[in-house]
Amino acid sequence: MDIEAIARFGVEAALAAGAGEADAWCERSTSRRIRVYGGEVESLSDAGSSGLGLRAFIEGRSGYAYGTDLSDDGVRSVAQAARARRPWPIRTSTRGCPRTRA
Amino acid sequence: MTLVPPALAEKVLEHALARGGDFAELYAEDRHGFSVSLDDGRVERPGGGTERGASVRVVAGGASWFGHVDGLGEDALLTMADSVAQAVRGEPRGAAPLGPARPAGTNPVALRPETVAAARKADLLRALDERARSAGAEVAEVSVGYSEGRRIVEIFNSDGVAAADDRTRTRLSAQVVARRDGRVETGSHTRGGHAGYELLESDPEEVAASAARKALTALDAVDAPSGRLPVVVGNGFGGVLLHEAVGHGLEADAVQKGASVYAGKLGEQLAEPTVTAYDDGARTNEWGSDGVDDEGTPTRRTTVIEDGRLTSYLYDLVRARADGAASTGNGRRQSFRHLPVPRMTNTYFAPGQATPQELIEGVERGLYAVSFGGGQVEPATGDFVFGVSEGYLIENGKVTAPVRGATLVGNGLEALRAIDGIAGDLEIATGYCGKDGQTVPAGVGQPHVRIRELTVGGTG
Repeated sequence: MDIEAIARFGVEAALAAGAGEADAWCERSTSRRIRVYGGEVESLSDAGSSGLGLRAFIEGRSGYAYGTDLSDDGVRSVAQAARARRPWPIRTSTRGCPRTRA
Repeated sequence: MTLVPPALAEKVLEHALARGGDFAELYAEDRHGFSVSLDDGRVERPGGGTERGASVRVVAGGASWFGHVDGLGEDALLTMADSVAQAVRGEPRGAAPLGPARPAGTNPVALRPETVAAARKADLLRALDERARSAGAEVAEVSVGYSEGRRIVEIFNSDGVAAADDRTRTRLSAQVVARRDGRVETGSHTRGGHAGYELLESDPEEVAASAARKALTALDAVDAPSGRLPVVVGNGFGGVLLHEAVGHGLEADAVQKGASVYAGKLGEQLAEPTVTAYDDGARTNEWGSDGVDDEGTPTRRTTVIEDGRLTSYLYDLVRARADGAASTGNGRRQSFRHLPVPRMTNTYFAPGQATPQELIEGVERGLYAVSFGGGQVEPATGDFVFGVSEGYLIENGKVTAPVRGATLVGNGLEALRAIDGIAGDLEIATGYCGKDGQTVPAGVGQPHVRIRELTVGGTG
């Protein structure tokens, strides 16, 4: 799984859905947690997680959505949800994508 | 909606038990959430999302082996079950046949929040903002928030349990900051339930008005008294004291590890015979309620204290097995990514015969602690310290000046013994409870309760 490609695809999908700007956060993680009590293993947890978060900006307003289905359809669905959350009848505090200072 | 067909669930459990184990479980979840807040008139963080995933647990002896995965595809579920099974050493065993998992349907939703237009939710937040600001010129900042969430869960286990639950929660909150001459005070209030948008149809602005009233009242607060004083604890959020100082000590994991002051005290008289307390996950549409717990056990009302006597601890399946008891339906988890542990649902004192007024009239000089802020409890001893976020003096049987900076210092067992009056005005408030790195919705509540004497740490 190429998470950079998924994040890029997420931004493209948000723009295609009508966002003026978009940013994406994609993460994949694995974890193992072992809990020992009284010298014995009480629990062992082995886990893998992945997900995508997308912000869509348009006309000074932003919407956010996330999802764990990282298939093309799943990412498109997240992008559309982020775009759909934008048209709030009250202005949002975030005007656009954060910029990196030169 | 079916998340996992029973035939696939059986297959997953067979894989999970391929190398032994006493018990195996598949927990599948599909969750959607949305939240938005309005801070000083601006919409903040409108957002939400969807998560789908499952976990497998194998219990072997005293150990639990656990794995979780995003998605509900057959390959992913079987791979996860195989991975968990690798950790177990024993003979393979079979699982009981499974039927379809049908939703419990015990918390009806009249108006699905996701069908309510964004414009209506925006109007709601704006109305709350305006209501709070109209409470007084000293209101300086207002923050109001709305959240909705739906979790569909299915639980299958090797004992033949096939259970499901469709959970919708809706919550509205307000926080108000008031300022006067450099003095800054805050007030907050919430309304929520295991229910739909209908919860917010009757005077939702009251949430903002209440938060504003608390903040403005606190501007007039005088220094809190100190010493051993009678304390009347308010209904609703006053139940935080019961939740923290007593409830956590009744959760069976703490009891079995000897980390609770209530260990070994079943059957003992801990309070006056007028005191009865419940944990009740089956109260319809209450914030901490579910149809089944996160192990598929139907929720129920468990009497933890009956007529002053300690009658039950709160069990999940694993701790119940260890004690030869039945689960009380308290196996809860934050999501499919977490192991279930014993957790409270809605915990409260049973209503008594008195009125709040009668409890207050019986106090010559004391403290009326309406609500609590931060606090700490040492479960092994029951010692606690709580900050009083909204409190008043009681003088000659009357509530007088608001006080600031009061703390209650005591011990859960001593406080239980010192309860000498309970009113009939039960109210349950919406809380979030953290334990073992997991946060779950929990109802905290009680009627007004009077404690004969507690140490009050004041500022005066």
